[in-house]
Amino acid sequence: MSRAARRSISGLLLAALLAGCQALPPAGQAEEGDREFLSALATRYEALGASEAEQYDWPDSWWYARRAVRASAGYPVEPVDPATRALSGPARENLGSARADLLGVLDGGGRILAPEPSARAQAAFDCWVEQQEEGWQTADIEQCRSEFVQALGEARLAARSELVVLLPGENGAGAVAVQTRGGRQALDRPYAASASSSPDAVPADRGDLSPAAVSGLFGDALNAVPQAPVSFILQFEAGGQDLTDASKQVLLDLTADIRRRRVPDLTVIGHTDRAGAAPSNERLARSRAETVARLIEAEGVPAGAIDVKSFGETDPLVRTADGVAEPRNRRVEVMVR
Amino acid sequence: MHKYRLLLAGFTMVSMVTLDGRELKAEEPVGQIKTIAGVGAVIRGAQSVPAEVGQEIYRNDRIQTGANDSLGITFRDGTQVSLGAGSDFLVRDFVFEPQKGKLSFVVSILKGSLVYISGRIAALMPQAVEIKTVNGTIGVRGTRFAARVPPADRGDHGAIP
Repeated sequence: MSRAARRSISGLLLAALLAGCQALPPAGQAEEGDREFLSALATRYEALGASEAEQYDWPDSWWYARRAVRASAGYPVEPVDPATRALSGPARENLGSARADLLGVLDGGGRILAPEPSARAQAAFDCWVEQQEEGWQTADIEQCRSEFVQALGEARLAARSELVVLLPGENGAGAVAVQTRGGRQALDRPYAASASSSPDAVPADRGDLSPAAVSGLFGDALNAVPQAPVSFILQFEAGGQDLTDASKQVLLDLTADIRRRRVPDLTVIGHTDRAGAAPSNERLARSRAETVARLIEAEGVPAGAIDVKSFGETDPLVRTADGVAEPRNRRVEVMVR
Repeated sequence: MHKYRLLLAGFTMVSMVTLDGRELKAEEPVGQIKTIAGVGAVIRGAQSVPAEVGQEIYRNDRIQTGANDSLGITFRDGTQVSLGAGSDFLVRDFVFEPQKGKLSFVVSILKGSLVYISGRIAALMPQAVEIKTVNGTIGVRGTRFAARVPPADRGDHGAIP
C-alpha cells in the first residue's frame, strides 16, 4: 500500500472518531487551562500513530489515533498505566515509578506551565511502554525512554519554578517587582509573568500567561478573594453630633453595604477641622466616631467588630491653617471590610 | 550558623509574646478570615486551631490550607489576600497607623498559591509592602497579582523566608 493511501485511511479513521466524539457529553472536558497541553499532546499522538502505521502496526496506530482524537477534542488523556500491559516484573516496576514521576509533574502545574514539554513527556512515556511491551526493538525502547527523560526534566523545571503573574485591576495601573539574590524583574502589564527557579537564579520573563492558564493555576485562590472593602465618608454639622443631610443618605448606603456582608468588620475614624483646641477636637472626633459606631451597632453589627479611632484635627482632608473651620474636615471615615 | 541562632531566638520571643502577651497587651487583630472553602488552620505560637469565617488574624499567625481547600483574608487596611490549595502563609509584620506614618505589610508564602489585592498600605507607602517567597521577594505598587510557590524538595534551603 502506498504511503498516501495509508495516510488517507488513518485520516478516515480520525474523521470517524471525531464524528463519534461530538456526541459525547461535555462533562468530561478538561479544564480550560489544559487546552494548550492537550493540543500539543494530540499532535504528538498523531505523529506516533502515523509512525506505527508506517510500520504496519495497525492496532497501535489505531490506539494512538484514538488518544489524539480525545486530546484534540479537549478531553483529558492520562499516560498509559503499565500495570495494564504485558510486561516483566522489573519493567513494570520501573515504568510504574516513571509514570508516578510524570503524573507528579503534570498534576503539579506542568500541563499549564510547560504544555509542550509535558505533552512530549507523556507521549514519549506511552511510546516507551508500548515499545517495552513489544520488547524486541531495543533502540526504539531507548529512544522513547530518553526522550521521556529529557522532556520530563524540562517540564519539571517549569513546574517547580515559583511564578508571579500580574492580574488585571480596576484601573489597570500598577506593577510588581520580583527580586531574588540573582536579580530583579518588573511586571507592568496584565498577565505578564515571571518564573524563578531558585533563590540565586535571575527571575525569568515567562511571557504572558493566558487568562485560562491563570484560572487553571489560581482558580481556587481567585474564588476565595473576599468581598472588596468599601470606604464611606460622613460629614457633620459644625461643633456637634449631627450628620449633614447628604451624609444621612450616605449612612443608608453604608448600612445597606454592611447587610450584604457575611461577617462585616469595620474601622470608624473620627476627624475634626482645626477650629478649637487640639485636645477638645480629639474628644469631639472620638464622640463623632462613637455616634456613628452606635448607629452601625443598631444594624446588628457586634461592637467587637467595630474599631473606633479618633485622629482629632491631625489628618485633615483639606489642609488649612490652625483655627480655620472647614466643613469637609468634620468627618467620620468608615471602612467596611 | 549565626543566622539560624538569631532565627531561633526570634521564634522563642514570638511564642512568648503570643502565649503570655496577648491577654496582657491586648494586641490588635490585623485582619479577619472572610471566606473558606474546605479546611484551613491558624497556627499561633504552639497552638493550631481550625480556620473559621470571622476568625481574627494576628501578627505572627501562620495560616495553612488543606490539599483541596482555600480561604480569604481581609486585612485592617483593606488589603485582600486569598490562599489556594496546600498553602502555608505567615503574617510577619503588619502595622497600619497612617496618622503616625507607621506602615508595614510583610508576609511570606512558603508553599501553595496566593492572590494579593493591595489596600491602603500599598497606596500610601508601597515600599512598606513585601511578599516573601522561598526564592525571593515581591514588591508592589498599588496592584493585584498571583504567586505560586511549588512544594520544594527541602534540604537545599531550610530557612523560612
